[in-house]
Amino acid sequence: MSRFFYYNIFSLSQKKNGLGFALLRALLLNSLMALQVVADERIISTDAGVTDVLLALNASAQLIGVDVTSVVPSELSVAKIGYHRTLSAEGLISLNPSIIIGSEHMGPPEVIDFIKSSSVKLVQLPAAKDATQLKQNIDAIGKLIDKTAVAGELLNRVDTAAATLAAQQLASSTRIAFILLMDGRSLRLAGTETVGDDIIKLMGGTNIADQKAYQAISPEGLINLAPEVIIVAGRGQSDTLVADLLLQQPLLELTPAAKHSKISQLSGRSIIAGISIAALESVALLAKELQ
Amino acid sequence: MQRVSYPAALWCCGLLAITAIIFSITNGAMSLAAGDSLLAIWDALWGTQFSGLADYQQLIIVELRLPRTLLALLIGAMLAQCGAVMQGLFRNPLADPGIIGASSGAALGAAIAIILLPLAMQGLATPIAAFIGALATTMLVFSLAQSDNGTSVIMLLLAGVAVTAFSGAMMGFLNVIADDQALRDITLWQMGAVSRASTASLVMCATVLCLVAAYFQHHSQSLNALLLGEAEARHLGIDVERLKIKLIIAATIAIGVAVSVSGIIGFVGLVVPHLVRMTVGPDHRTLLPLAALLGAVLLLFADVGARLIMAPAELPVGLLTAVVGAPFFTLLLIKQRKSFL
Repeated sequence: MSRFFYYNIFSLSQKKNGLGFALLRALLLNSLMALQVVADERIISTDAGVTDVLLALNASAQLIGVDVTSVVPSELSVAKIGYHRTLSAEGLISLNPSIIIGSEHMGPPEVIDFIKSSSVKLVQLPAAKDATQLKQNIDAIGKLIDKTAVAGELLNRVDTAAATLAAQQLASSTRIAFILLMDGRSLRLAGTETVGDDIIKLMGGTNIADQKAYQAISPEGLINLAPEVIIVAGRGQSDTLVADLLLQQPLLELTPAAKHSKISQLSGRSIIAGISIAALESVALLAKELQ
Repeated sequence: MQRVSYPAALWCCGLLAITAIIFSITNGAMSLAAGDSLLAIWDALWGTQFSGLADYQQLIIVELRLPRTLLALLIGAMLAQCGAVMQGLFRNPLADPGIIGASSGAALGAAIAIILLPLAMQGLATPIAAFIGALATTMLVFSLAQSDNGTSVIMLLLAGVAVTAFSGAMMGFLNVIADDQALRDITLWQMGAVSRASTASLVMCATVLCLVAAYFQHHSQSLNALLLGEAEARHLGIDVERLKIKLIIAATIAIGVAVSVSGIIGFVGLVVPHLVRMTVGPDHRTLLPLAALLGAVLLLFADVGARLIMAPAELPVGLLTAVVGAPFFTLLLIKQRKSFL
């Protein structure tokens, strides 16, 4: 009834004022409509970390679209909305979402402005680099989609992993190298502003690399940096990454890490969404192993 | 191949352009009724209520599809005209806006902005850096080609190749030090898009296109004379040296603006002038306006494809222009092969 009333008022006044009123009307009308749909959210996630949390919250039924960096189970049919920095406003709106959740990196700005001016709720959460931020994100998303109970369980899991990590901290002077083993061709050393760097910080050591991003490094360069711990991650699910690495680059036996058997592997799959719950748990396991 | 008369070609291109505009307004990731989509624009202009679309759907038409339609129109026209002028000026069928280093310079400028500047500043800084890059490389190429005997066309082309190779190497270096996100941003920027149309960029492109098109048209007879050869043009009383400088500066500004707004969109500047020459003839008085119209048409259709093929995601439009343009161009070449032999 009230919706009908508003509609009439505004359709009358719009004839005089054109687009400005059309906008206002759209906002009012849609906020009224939004009240009617609470249970049946239609969610688009534009961030791998957010998608991971949504799936962990058992919200896959409400998930209708994800960006190209998100990993979803193959049986789940969701629209692929492209790269999260070059989103298409019309493409997003055409999926008829009720909430769009992403990171602070979403773009381009024009699209963000358009979504903000529409009736779709836009939530931007900072990408998690540690347990604190991850907990805040889980909490925020849980409240947003009304799944606080499941969110509570997830928060407990994060707390457990964080507690394990806190108990297993390496000495802050421990020199750690985080290596991505790429298709057996080259070694890529994690610099600052990478998930690898976040993981080193979580474990309490010091990253031996001081450059930004992942950079190719020769075995000679790696030996020269004398890492005390080497963490190796790969793309696939290989269980023998450490053996693979030493087989390909036998000279790495010369590093302090190899001499003290401090080379360990981390599943590439668990860190694909950044510091997620799965990543935190596998890092906790890794920290135990390296003690 | 039978040549088409200018008025017939003008009507044909005009109709194609109108079809393309309507097509572009009525198609997108969201399926909306065609008639209502067009009425939505009328409604927005005059404040009427003819369109049966919901308000957010009207916003999609008026704030998303209309601006990008206009931008595709302007950019397509600009690129095709600059291509036509470059080909005429260098008397080289391979010339396109990229040949004197403008595209590679713009790409380098944009890459520097994307990698070295913080994310918040990139929105504004990337187009400006691209424009400066385009201008700087073209000026460098141009000054390399200067000698006591004037500007050498061969030197211009060779210096263009050298400078393009150098900026390519610099791009490679920047790609090595870039993080994954910047890398992806650069790649996508280089493939071009007309989806980011702001009022300011539309006004800027429209102004530049009008000025440059009028200027090119004013010099179309001189360009015709230049087709005979530089010496012949000089004998016809044309100051070839000044003509070259003036037209290159005008074209560089237009290309710089186009690239800074939409990234690098290849093939429009190369293919469209050839198409017009093959069908209507090489007279620059008719070539320039027709190239502008046809360039707009090609880019508009390519942009609709870019919106629809991967919906709800979007393809970079530069990919589409190449995918559509290259085979079509080859087909025409094969048809025309006799005339080249």
